[in-house]
Amino acid sequence: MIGPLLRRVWLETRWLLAGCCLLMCFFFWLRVWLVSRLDSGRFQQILELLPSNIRSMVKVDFSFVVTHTGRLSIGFEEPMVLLVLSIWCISRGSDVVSGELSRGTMEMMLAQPVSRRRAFLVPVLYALAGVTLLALASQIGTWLGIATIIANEAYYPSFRIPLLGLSFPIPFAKPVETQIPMWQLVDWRAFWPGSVNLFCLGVTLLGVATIFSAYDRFRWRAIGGVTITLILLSVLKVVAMSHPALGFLGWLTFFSAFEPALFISQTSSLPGATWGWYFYGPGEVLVWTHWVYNAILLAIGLGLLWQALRVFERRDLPAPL
Amino acid sequence: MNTEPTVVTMPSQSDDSGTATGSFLADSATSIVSPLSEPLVDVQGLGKRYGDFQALADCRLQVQRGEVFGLLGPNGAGKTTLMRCLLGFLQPTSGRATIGGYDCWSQRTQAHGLLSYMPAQPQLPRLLRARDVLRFFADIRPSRISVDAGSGSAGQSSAGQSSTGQSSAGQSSAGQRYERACQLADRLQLDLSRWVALMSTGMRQKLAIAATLCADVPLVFLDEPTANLDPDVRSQLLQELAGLRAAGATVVFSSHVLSEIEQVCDRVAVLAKGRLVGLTDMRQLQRGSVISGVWTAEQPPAIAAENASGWQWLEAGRFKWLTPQPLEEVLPELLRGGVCDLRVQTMGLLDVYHQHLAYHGPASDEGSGA
Repeated sequence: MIGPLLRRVWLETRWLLAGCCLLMCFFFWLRVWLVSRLDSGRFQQILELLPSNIRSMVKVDFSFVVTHTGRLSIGFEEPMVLLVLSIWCISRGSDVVSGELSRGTMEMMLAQPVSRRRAFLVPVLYALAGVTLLALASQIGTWLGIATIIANEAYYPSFRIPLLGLSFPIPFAKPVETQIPMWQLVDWRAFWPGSVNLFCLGVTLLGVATIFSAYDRFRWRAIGGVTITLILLSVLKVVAMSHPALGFLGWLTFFSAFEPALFISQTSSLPGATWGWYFYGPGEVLVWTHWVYNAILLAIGLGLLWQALRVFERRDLPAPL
Repeated sequence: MNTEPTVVTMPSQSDDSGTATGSFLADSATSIVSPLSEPLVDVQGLGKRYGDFQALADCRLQVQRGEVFGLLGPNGAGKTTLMRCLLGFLQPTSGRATIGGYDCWSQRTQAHGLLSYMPAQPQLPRLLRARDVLRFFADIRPSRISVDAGSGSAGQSSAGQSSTGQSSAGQSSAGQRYERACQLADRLQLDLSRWVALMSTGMRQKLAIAATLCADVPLVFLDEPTANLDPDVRSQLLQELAGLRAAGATVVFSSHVLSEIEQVCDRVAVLAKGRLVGLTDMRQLQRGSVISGVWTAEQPPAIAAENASGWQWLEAGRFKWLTPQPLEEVLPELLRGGVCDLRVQTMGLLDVYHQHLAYHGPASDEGSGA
């Protein structure tokens, strides 16, 4: 009985899923293209122009941000990526209960010998598969870009002191433009922590949307509730980052666990951060790895989904208005 | 399984304590001889309350296998609430209901294996073509429901019933159900290649009918199924219902169109303000009469007191009496008592319906609990 439910949800949402995946893939390809157009030196100059309070909000080391890998890793935090992920998670999560209820399509479906658990889990698992595909699309887009795009790099001529091994740039010299394939500058395998973190955030977003859906009978109200909640939690993260004294607010939002650029930088530079739960940073400070943050996101998301299932199994299903 | 014929007394109305009292038509005995030991649908003191509002109160009825059972009542009477409780969409706040021995709330999935349902305003997935919808409803049912699907109570109370129900439920394959749905859609002149979103309300209703009736289940719930249908399709649907009855299926049918109820139903329950206020056997109804006239004597007749529930005093000594008794028994007594302007009509469902509502109005007000 899973097959018909799965087929139905696939037929209803295949274009949305395909659109989101293509958009995600294209965006990451575009990101590689944009990074390839701007050489590292110029990007560093742009970064130095940023106000200090803005720079303090960036958790990643600036020496990493100016690299091609660093600049590509920031793409995981772009609003476009979060928008596509949110569209998928909110649209699917809100549809699971309140969407079906408000459209009236749940009545005839639940009058079949299909348990509420199954009627809930099939679309949720499908939505989770969609989140997985979106995370994969981010990897595929990045890989496609790296494999196909040639970067413009500008090198300033320098002179080298042979015995000392020191190089000094020649002032007032014109930069030398060269073209280098991106795959020689960036290893595409470095970005998987970003995709994993994106997937975990997707699970959490889906959980939030589904819990609103499970309690409500109107989809528009569930979507409104989710949107307001996510905006508030995002604002909370920004406020927490803006001043050290307000840092405690970061504990109140799950967006604090979404730091793909930071995790990519950690796994790129510190082998111990790749598979362990923690490592010791500068000054022997204990630092949790991305696995801990991902586990937090997963726990929140799956916990909310579990609670949504419990609510749905016990609640009354009112007649559609 | 016990196959001894049993006499099942149908309480046609309940007093406030929930005890079944006599029939509204006191002398239209609602005791019927059931060919089977247990009813397919058994509702015992079912109630549903939303905060202070009592949507359904102490409803008691039984639907026998193979009968077409009508639910009648004004808007807001509780018909849909009763049906939704039976379908396991709403959790009763009091009492319980079973279908084929399965509890309608805690064992709803097993109960759904025995039934098919079409809501009053069926909504189908709009982003699918009509044929995909039929395919979905044909595929969603298992080809054979496990005999052990029911839990304890079903097994204890009516294992035979359950297995009987299952023996006729879900026997056909998904392909056969799809084939049957397509044939029905064809009879209803439905274009299966159209997207549901582009269908009119009536076409969607036809599609829902095909999706509902393709399942070979022993029990079919239809909530106002003929709304939005043109007269031809309406009569075709009623024919389909007659076919279902001939095949031995049980149908619970809700409608505001009394002529349809009269045409297809074996028994009719009347609900008002959340209470079951009357239960009428259509066979007895067809034998009944409506007698009206003017009582000229000073003393009211004894027959009026004996048949209080069917007797209605109008203005200036005029009365109206709904009786299932043979005319040759009652007319002489009336004529002896001094009745003039005597008129006799065949009893119709509308008469009974109005009488049920008029008789039970005050009691239902008390019982609404609002």
